[in-house]
Amino acid sequence: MQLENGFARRVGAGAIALACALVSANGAAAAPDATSAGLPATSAEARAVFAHAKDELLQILVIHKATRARRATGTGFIASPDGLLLTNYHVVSKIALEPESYALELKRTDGTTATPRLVAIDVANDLAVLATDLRGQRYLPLAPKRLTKGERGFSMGHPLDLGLTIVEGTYNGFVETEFARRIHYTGAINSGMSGGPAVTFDGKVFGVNVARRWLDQLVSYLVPSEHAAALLVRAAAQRSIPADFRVEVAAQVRAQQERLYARLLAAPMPTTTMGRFTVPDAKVAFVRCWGFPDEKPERLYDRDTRLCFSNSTLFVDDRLLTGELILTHERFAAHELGAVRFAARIERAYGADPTIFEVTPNKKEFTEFRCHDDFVRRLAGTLRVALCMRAYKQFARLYDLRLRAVTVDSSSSALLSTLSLSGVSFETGRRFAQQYLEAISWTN
Amino acid sequence: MDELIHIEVLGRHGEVAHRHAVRTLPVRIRRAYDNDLILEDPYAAPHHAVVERTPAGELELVDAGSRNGLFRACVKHRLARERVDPAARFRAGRTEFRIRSGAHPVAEERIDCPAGALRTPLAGALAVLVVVAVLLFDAWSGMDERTELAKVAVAPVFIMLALFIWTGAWGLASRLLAGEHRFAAHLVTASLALIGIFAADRLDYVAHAFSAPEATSLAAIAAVGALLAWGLWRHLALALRKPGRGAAVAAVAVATTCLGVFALFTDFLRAERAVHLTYLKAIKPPVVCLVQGGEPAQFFGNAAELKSELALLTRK
Repeated sequence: MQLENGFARRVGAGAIALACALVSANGAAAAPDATSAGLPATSAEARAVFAHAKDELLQILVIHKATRARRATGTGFIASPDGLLLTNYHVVSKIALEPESYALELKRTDGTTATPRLVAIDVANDLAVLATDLRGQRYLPLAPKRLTKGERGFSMGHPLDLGLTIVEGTYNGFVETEFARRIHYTGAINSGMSGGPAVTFDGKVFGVNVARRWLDQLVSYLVPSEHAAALLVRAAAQRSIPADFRVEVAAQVRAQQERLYARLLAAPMPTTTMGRFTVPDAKVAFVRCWGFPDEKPERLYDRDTRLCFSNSTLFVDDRLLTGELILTHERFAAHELGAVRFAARIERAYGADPTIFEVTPNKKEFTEFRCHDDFVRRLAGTLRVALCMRAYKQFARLYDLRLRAVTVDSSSSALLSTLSLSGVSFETGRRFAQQYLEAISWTN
Repeated sequence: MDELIHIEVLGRHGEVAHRHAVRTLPVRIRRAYDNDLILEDPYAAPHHAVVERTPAGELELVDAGSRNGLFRACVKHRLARERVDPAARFRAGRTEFRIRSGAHPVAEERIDCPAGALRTPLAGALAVLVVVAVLLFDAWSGMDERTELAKVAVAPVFIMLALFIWTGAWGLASRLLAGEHRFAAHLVTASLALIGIFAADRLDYVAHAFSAPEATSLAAIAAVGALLAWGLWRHLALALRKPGRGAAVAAVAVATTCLGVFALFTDFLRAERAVHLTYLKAIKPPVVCLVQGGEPAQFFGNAAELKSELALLTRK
């Protein structure tokens, strides 16, 4: 994700397991004892929670087989009596996508290690389940009830390989501006804590550490525990472990995208106005729009930009983020340019590569773009339109789409509109792009 | 008295550097001052060769006992004596020469080109003015900010500098090969080629007008190739004393190679960056647009073929 106002980054892993856990009769860790003479209540509570859960937390190491060195680290916690471990998908994505090159290792608080096996993933919610040989041991139960805003919680994990750490924070409800459901947690989650639990004062997991806002302070995200519970149920019920998780990843990305676009296509495309132009808009909470006027006085034309992007990014690999939707509208109005120079200005804008700021992708991951372009007639006039698509080589039936449309019927004003979709099916992308184009209109 | 015979000392490129007429045989060719034809060549013997007539009446060239030998040009076999062939070139030391009689036939005179007006300094100056005007217009049409006139004027400087360097190099080549610099003619040639390439680049107006990117792209490439080949041929023709078919072949070969390298490089760049979008980027004033286009449904219907194109790429 490269947009300038910052996005939640996946948190790496690293921490040390601490604390002793009280074990109830069914194996779940009992509520921590928060009483401790001589300590303030908050510190006592944190210490108790920490002592309570340390043995259920393990550090996850993703080992590069060829060099026998770690490629990624994270945190996981035992979440069932069968020894199933929960963590983030992004911690173990290399195991899912390149199992021949990477191996998993678990490290316990006492320093012992174990070798788990990846058994289930949930890409949309960034979760994964690992099978371990820790059956019958204590585990952290998932919280059955929802917290209320302002309640305190404790996030744990292995930040920056500094050891198992507990971080107190505040539950602030759900993030309304994300497509995937996420808890807004005000606490210092850092790289290495990914996959670790966020627990209540009584030691129940209400969320799984997943991300924090880059360059912002104490704005962290958790995956709600109900998604973790659903994945655990699926993992326990599945007859066999998927032979190739790449197929599973592709299927889950496609399913998530179908849900996203089903929601966007359920109603006629909303619009907004920019001068004499009516342009597509997205009036859903998870799409945010920003306006940028052009403020260079020496220019002989005006340019206003409206940029909308969705908070629906899916992490597939550290080189592949997909699932994004971006709408860009640029309105040009010229005063002193004349027809030739104005057309030259529009030509430069239309010809500018909208993907210029993308990280150059691996050619093993994507095909080249292929484009179809032509004039398109609308009621008010004519557009020049280019539709470009490329396919994902590793994930079947997934495409990236770029649509550029520019009005060509005026010598003094023009609209340039760009639609960018990543990780869509061919038909869904084409259908959405058509609705998008049909939503563009203007008055003369 | 024998018939008139000419011994022609040849230059590096086969041109006649010096012609020595004789009416009396034998003719002694060597470096010493007691000879009929003196060669300023340290590799020629003081008494190197003799041209004489055989009893049968034929001209014959005889080695007079040189150490370095007497040869036919480009032949390693040393000659003791050889019948004189008017087309043959001989070598004594490092000097090539040929022997021709006064009856040797010559070609008819060449018709002088009536387009000599294009070789005059006035023609060169006019061509440069046109190039400057084209470049200034191109710079002006790309400017969308308030700017001083001086900035627009600076825009063509580098291209004009390159034009003069290019023309100067060809002028130097002409001076060395043909004895005249012909700078104005080279300047007119280079200017016309540059104007032609600029015009070919404007074929994107046609592409936009008719929404025909592939056809106009091919036409533009062919036009640029033809202009390159014409320009190179014209330069060669001006630079060489006797431009033959080889000059045309060389011009076409170089132009084709340049286009091929450019195409390969463009394709390489496109393949390296999977993000590059290739579609017709030309946008022109509304009056140029002659095609209305179809409805959105038709556009997206036609775009369905992208799926099969991408399927093929996925298999690669």
